Amino acid sequence: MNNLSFFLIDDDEIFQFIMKNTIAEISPDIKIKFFSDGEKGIDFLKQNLGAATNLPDIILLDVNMPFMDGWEFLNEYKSLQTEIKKDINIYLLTSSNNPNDIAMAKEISELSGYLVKPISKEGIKNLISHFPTNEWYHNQF
Amino acid sequence: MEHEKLISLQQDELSNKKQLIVELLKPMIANLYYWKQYNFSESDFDPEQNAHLEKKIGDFIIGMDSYNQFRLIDLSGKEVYRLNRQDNGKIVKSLALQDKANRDYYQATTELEKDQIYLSPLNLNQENGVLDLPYKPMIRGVAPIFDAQGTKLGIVVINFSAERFLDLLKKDNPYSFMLLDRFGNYLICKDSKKEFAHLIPNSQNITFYEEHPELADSLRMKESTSLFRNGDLWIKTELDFKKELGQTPLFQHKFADIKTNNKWLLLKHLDSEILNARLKSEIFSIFLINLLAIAVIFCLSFLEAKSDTSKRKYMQALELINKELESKSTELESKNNSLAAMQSKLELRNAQLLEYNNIVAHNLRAPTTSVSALVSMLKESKDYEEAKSYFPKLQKVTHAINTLVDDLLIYVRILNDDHQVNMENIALEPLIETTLDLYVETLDLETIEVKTDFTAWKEVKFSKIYLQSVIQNLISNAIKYRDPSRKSVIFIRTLWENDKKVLVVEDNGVGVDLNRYGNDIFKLYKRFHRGLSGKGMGLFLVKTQLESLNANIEVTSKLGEGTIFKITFDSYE
Repeated sequence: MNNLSFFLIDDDEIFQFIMKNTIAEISPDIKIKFFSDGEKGIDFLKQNLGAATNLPDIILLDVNMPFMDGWEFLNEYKSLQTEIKKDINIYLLTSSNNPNDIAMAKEISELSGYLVKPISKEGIKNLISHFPTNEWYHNQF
Repeated sequence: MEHEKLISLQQDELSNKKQLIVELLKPMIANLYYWKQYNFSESDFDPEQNAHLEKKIGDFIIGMDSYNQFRLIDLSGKEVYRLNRQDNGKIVKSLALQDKANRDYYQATTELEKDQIYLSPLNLNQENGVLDLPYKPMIRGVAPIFDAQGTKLGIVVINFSAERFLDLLKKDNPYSFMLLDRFGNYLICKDSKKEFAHLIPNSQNITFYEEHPELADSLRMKESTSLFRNGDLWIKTELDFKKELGQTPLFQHKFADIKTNNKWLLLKHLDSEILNARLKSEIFSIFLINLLAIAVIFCLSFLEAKSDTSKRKYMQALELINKELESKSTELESKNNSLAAMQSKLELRNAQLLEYNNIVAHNLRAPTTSVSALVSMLKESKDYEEAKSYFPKLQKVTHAINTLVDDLLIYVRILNDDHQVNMENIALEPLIETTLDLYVETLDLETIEVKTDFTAWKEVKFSKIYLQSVIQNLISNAIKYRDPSRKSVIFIRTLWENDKKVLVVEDNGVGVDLNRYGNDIFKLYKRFHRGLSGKGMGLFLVKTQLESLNANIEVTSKLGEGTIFKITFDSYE
């Protein structure tokens, strides 16, 4: 479990910093890579479609980002999915508990779940311990 | 010689009487025609649904004192609506509707065509097949009723009372005057027992022609004639309804056609005794009677005119009500409009508040949770070195929060200000010149050409501060997102669209993919151009400021071609 690989796609530098620290505390073996917007994330995936070792197990995807937001990223991802040589679980990150966002997220089959910020160390631990989640994952009910 | 004079006077009298009858029939025709044109509907011929007619028709009929009955009869001969005039003049709706399928007048009128009007023979009123007592002489008028689609609904039957008109004919009648129908039945006779004998059971039913067979042929010969027989003088005039009523404008101009069999005989009998003894004195009195008859005709035409007047008054009242309704409906419409305006204002305010909510939820929540995360990390830090590493992060977050709070304050101030904003007439050209001056160095350095065209309009009523901010943001955008690969042009112009002032700011810059970002372009902190430093506040403010004063902004853009912002001002002025 501890050799999981994370991508965090989020423009919030502070959140990136916090996640880096949190994950390092859980296990130094867990890898995490940061992208400051959807476009950068998609570009990386496109360049590494066949290189499974470069691909993550989990993508934490922020909704609000410049240039390409979370929803757009999911659209792009959909068209790439068949070419990606790895099973990737994507969890949507958002700072609001907006029911519209949750309903919209559930409609998207590429998504494995939904995480509401702030995400505590326990929250990440919980996600990792349940991974891979077969059912729709939600960190707050 | 004197006889000749007498005959001529008597002829005059008869023709006056005839004229009197015709004048009395005319209003009947006019009334029937009126109801024929009355837009009855199918439901009016359903006794379950036609109660509302009472108000409309009942009121009308009160004034029509010659109406004894007003009925609507359906195609099967059943009465569906019936108003009776009681002896005291009161109009009562009758609940006992009768089946008239077997009555002669119903049968005579089933074949009536659209424009035909029927007048029955002079008759006595019957109720449920029994003569009404005292005898009520009347003429039934019938007109067929068609709906708007031309489908026959039934007939309208009006019983016109003939009492008054018979009284008028009998009045001042020193010589025996007789009114006979086409068969010689007595309608008026000195011997009242003979009157309507053909209709009254068990009476001695004898016609004039049976009584005076010797006169029959001669009397039938001409329309007007006189003859001496055994010293008695007989003077007659015929009244053929069809012929006489055909002179009325309604029939003359073919608006309608009359169906009737009525052909009456007006007859005077001066027996030899009277003729010899009282001839001279009577001449004068006959002359007087003639004058009287003329006066009566005059009165009757006046009555007819009066009934016309009451109809006209009725129509005028209707028109008045119509006008009132019309003015009420315009009033409603204007209230509707102001409600709609209020609603769109509320909708806008709602959208703005939702936007505010979203900003707080998304943009404020993220940094504040970051602060708490950083603070807890700070608490758990093992040494000062680690703790120190968190300070720049914390500073960054607090700076972000401060910026956001400042921006939100600007937003909230616009939302709250819209009632106090100072609206003034702003000359556009100097305002734009001032704004361009702010960027004069960049414009010169980058050789950006600014073209303007304010021919359509030069002044607009708006908040000067807002408009300045809007234009500054749009120009700043156009400069920021210029395409360095070609000569930049900014084109600012005014136009009219649908009677509203429109301001267009157009550039040939890098453009933005609206298919991708269309909904987000005016939202807070949205950025679409990597490497071009935008805070994502400008267009959000522009939209908020414009909308708070009922103006709106639209954008069209093509990647690599440029962007056009179009501001449409509300037509306040």
